[in-house]
Amino acid sequence: MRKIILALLVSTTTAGCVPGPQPQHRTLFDAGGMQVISVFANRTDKTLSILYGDSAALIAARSEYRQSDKEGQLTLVTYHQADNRFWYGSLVNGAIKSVEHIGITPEAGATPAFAYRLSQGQPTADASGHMINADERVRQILAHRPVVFP
Amino acid sequence: MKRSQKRLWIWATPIVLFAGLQFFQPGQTNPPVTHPIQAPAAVTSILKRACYDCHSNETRLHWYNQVAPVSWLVSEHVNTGRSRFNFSTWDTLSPVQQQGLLWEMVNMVLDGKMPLPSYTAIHPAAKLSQEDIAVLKAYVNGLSPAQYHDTTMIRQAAQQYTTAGATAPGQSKPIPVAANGVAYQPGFRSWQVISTTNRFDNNRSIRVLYGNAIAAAAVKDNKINPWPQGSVLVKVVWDIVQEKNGDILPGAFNNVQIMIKDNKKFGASGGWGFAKFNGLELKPYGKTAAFNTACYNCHKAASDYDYVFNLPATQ
Repeated sequence: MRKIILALLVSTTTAGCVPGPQPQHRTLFDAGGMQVISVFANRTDKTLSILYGDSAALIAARSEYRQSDKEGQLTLVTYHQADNRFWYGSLVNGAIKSVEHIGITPEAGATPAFAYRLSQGQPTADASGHMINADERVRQILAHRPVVFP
Repeated sequence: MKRSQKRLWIWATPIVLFAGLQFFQPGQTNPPVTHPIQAPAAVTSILKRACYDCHSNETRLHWYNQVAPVSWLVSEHVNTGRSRFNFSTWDTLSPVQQQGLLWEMVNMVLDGKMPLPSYTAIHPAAKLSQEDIAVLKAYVNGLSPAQYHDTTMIRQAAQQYTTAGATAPGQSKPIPVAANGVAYQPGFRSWQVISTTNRFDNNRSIRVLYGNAIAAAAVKDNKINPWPQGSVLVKVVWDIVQEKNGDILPGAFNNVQIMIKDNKKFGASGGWGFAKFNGLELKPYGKTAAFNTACYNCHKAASDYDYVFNLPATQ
């Protein structure tokens, strides 16, 4: 009987030391009312990206950013890619890698002006590791044609 | 009644009942093998060892499988297995159906749901090793190779973009409804984005998953097992154009998939009502409400999170 009580005590104490399930946190980016303009990925960089825009940016996107009547805002959120644990054959976003913004300012009779800002993460580098300047980065981001929604 | 007679009855009754049960056999048969799967020998040998007893017309019945009531259980398993897919009539399925089932099969194996643990407990030889799983993965990957800079996909996307008008505000048109009563959700673009996914299986695509306020709050609070009543998830699917530098670019819009949590209405499918609306015309998938069961069966691979596949990875 004494052995049983001892075994119970040991198992209870040991169980108390075992860490419980770790709290799980998933990143949900607050786009602040902006809507998805495009989505893309890169298997080499292991990234997934979503390009958001406000209502003015959504309209500007339809002219491939050649025209804009109002000030607008684009935000590109790039995530680290992860295996989808529920489906082999699928990759899903994990943590945010970077958040970039482009301000769109109308210019009378000309292409709008674009102002680039990086608010989270590291500046983007090219394949050889050189940092891409703001103008080139803006060009890269604007080259993503809007996706078609129903 | 004498005590000895009573004891005799106690012993005899179960034996008589057991013997009586043997007159009620399910009569499990093996119909002819008409269109067997054509796959490399390394693959078929795994399938024969681990899957064929329930998913083919070559079921091997041991003596104990033919004794009622075990035979009833075995028969039910075999009939269910053959109804899901049958490797003996495999080549009657379209290549698209075959690939879909094979990817689903690999995922059920990786998830430990297949072969059924109750089956492998009695048939340990059916257990799959890591080498077996690697063979199956390589096989399905080989069935769906990447097509780099696919000009057909590029042309389709350009055509759709020109005719549909990208990001154009939705025009007012009747809201399509699937055969199970799940309606299209026209306002989803203002909802919270839950995740984005890129599939490299037989459904090469890029997706964005949106959640309504209830679903978004559930993800933030990690209260998604089960998801709360009233959760609505909308997944938008685009084809992809894959480039050799690793770029995965969105192609034409393909479909919208919806899951609505309503335990009362969809209790038989984990509380979820499923729907899929194809093409820009948003044509509902499924002629009858029975399609809901097919969706549910596939989503069982994600039963750990109440049947939702596309959750962002945890940090």
